[in-house]
Amino acid sequence: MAVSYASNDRYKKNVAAHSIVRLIICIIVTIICLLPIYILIVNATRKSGDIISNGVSLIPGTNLIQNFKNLHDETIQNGSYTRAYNLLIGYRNSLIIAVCSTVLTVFFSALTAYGLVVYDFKLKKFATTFILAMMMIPMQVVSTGFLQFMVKIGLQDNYLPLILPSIAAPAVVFFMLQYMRSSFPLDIVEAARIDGCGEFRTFMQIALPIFQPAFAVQAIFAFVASWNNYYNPSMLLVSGKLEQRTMPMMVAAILGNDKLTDYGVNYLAVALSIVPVVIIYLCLSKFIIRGVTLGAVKG
Amino acid sequence: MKNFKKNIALLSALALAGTMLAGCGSTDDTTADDSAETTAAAEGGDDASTDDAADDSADATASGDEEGVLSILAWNGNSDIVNMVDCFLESTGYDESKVQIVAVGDNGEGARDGYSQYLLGDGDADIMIMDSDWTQQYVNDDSLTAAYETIGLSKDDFTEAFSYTLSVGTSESGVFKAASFQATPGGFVYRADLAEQYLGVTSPEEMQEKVKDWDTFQATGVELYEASGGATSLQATEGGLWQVFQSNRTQPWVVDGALVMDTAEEFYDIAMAMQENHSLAGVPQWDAAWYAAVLDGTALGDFVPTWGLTTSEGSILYNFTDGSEENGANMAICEGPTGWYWGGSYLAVSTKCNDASLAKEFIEFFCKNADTMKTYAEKTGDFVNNTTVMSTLTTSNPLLNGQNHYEILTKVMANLDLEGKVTKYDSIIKSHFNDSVNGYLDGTYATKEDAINAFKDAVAASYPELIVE
Amino acid sequence: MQVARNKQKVSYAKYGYIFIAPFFIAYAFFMIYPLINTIILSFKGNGSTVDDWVGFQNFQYLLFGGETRAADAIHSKFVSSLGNTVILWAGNFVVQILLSLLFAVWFSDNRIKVKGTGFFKVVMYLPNIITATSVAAMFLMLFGNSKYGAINSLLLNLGWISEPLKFVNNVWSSRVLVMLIQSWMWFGNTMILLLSGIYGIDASIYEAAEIDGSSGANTFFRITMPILKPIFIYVVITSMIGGLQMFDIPYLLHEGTTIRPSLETTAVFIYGQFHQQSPNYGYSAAASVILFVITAVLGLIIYKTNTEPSAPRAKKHKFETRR
Repeated sequence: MAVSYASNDRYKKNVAAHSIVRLIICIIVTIICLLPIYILIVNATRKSGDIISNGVSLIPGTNLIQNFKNLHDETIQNGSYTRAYNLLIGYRNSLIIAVCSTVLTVFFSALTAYGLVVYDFKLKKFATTFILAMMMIPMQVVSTGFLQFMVKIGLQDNYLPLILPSIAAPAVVFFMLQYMRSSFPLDIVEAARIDGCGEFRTFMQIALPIFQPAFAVQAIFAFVASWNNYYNPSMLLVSGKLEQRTMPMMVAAILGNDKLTDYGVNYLAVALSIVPVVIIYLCLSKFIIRGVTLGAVKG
Repeated sequence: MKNFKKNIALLSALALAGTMLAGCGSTDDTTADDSAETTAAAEGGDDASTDDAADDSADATASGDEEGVLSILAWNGNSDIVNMVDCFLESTGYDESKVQIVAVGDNGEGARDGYSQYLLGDGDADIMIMDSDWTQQYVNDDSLTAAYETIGLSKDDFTEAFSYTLSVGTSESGVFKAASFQATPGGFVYRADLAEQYLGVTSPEEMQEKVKDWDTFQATGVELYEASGGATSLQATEGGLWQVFQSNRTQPWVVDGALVMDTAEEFYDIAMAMQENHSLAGVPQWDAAWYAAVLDGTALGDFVPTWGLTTSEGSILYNFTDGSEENGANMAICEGPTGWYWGGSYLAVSTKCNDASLAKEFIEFFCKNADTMKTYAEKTGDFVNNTTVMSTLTTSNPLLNGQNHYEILTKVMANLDLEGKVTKYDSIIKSHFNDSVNGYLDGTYATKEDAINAFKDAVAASYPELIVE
Repeated sequence: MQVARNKQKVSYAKYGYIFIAPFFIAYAFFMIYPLINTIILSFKGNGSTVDDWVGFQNFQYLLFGGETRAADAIHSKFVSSLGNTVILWAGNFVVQILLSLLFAVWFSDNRIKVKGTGFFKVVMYLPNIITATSVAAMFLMLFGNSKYGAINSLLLNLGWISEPLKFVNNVWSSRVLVMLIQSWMWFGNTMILLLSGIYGIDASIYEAAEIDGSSGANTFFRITMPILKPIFIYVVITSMIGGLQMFDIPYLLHEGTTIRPSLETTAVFIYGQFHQQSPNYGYSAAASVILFVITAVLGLIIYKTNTEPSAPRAKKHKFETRR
């Protein structure tokens, strides 16, 4: 792709050709990315019998409204759907947990990373290595111990153990750390000190805005991870009350029930569970792009 | 709503913490103070909500622990228990508040892990619904289940129960701890129209002749595939075949701490022969493809247990026929090669049971008293665990062309003898066995010996204490 | 303030501790018990002997086998799970990194602009939003073993095959499928991480490079990559961790009830050992410890070999002086 300035015309043509090739590849990859999601949504609009006998289809069905009604019908199978699934309660619970943990994760991770990059102290190296090591702990077994501990201190059926541990998110800290190393000018801190700005204010008002892209990225990831987390909530909310269940727990309750074989309704349940994430993601992604352009103007 | 408010409170506490951090002063001293305050505020917020939660749960347990309220642990997808509680309240005239269902876990497996966690906490639990797969695990753990004697019941109270259910509910040391309200035999459900077309079979009795033992079953598979020109296989899934075959044993899986293969080795040959003869349609169980295969005639039929034979939406038979009686007119059921059962739920008494009389009443209602059991069977179409009731009860299943499937299933039950063959190892051993047969069929293991070795290795790995030769 | 300015180092050090304190307090409170518990369990028995101390026996059996059939069985199961993990990770890692790096560079390229970049960026992350359960279910619908699977039914209708292909049951096609699904799910995530790193680079550096007549490839290798290095290391390390602990898709991608042996990763092994009726806590805890040691060693090697002299400030200065 070595382009010289020798011939401006050829250069432009070359650019245009490249641009088209890239566009085509992007479109193909986009289709591959969207196809399964599209099939999921199409299935949510189809009749169960249609899905069973005809398999995958790309043409939407006409059963969306009926599926939605069935999902909320208390008489179907003794209310197996309504006892397991309630859209508003699910959204509410998942939102509370996901928003709180996202806020805690990004804020405290930035704080921790900032502390490790900006200041020099004895245990700095040790702390950094320690955080790195923590990322590598396989969670499968640890989670049983975690549950035992939470039950011991009476925190089962409580949201706190789902939210508070996100203060310590080693992977996010590591990302922020690497991000600051690549693009945070330490001179700014020095300058702020000379201006008489306190350390916390420097962090809040000068450092945080600079981290905006990193912040937005990690916020999306943290939100999605928390929203989709099935394992921890289902483990910790032992009593499984509907009022406490999160969205993935509700979806799992439907998909995990062998007797609920109305595939149209089941796909609708899945599709509805991802709608809020997509919306929130689209909002945040605008924020990323804006954050980036802001940075560019400053530069 | 209470919960919601609590969470809003937490949210605002956190927001407060955030603003306090943001508004920190410009001198070093104040920042330090502020940070201390912030943590205090955050802690305060957390404490408050923890207290709230504690209060909430205290409220819940207070009402749960009250004498005279029966708490039943079940899992989310279990609609039987909802039917049962409705039926119980209606017959006894008790107030709704007398019985509460606590949903722990999404399905049987979730409940298996969930109950033991739940029992560690302070929630109330009198009766637990257990899946037959792990009933043995629970009845062999005295920290989870109490003997029926503690609420004044014994094995002698259940003389009319099908005997295999009593074996499943008895611990290794012979303590009776769980009764079932249902027996779960099944039969071979098939497309009668295709059977007539390709096999010349016109009645369930004639069909039974075609599947009366494993040799005939295989021969029929070959006949059918040829007669249909390769369009129809006899059996839809390997899983259904296996469910039946595993009831065929002459000895328990574990004798004197050692694994016994017994008749199991034969199954590798039967399954492989059927696959090679195209007698297996090779679709996965519990998948849309399973239902489609019977619906479109790729498979003649499959083995379906009693709970899959109901006409309610989502049952196996319902999906085989897409719920239409028109399709149901083409379906029929016969016994199949051996007696067998599949699944079923058991009622155990929790170690935390504090309402013995109500628990006893509930268990007697569904597992002992012939009259109430009959009412329940008539109401739900379930196959209740009472030999007298089931030998007299008739039904006409619209999705089986009006056939009385109780009659067939009672015959199947008569051929089932599991006395002394139930062990606490069964569930895991069976699943390893199924895995290795699957692996043999799909070529993961090149030979039968490899597959058997893999099976034995898996059992040895799961149960280090077992002797596996 | 004055005191602080006089002995800067000593005074500012305390902020370091204050800033990292919440993290460590929260971590200690929630994780110390589970961690210690895991380590203790790794020295204890399995199944019915879960309360007995067995020393290093679990580690010995997992890594080297033993005299009994049970010990050898667990050893070969564990070793094959390690092999599966490495295969699945390697395949997924290469595809994922190449794709995400390619798109990250394309989307941030000021010279050759692709129309609709904003749209593509947004869409490529979408697969990551869907839960693994739904992803597995959808791919099973598409790649089902029987003639009812979408791909099989398409190929059968086209007459390209006469028997359905067992995509999920075949050893290698199941592995390729997992690699593809994992890449599909994660390349958008990785791309966004890389992009955020690239966007963090001062735009004036690129302008300067352009004025100097630096070619695209030259700019990428001489400017983008060195500055992106910390983020790139992050991506490599986290995807290595994610790969070694790969669980969801391998665990879910099967028809019927049998988990595919070709997809049994170490994480699936660990989960299976403690998540059965008579849990083998000893084996699963010991396997966790082993997996942790492997991950930590690899992670620290990558980290140490890549971060020594690269103080970000110095690098920035270099560019500034060159400009």
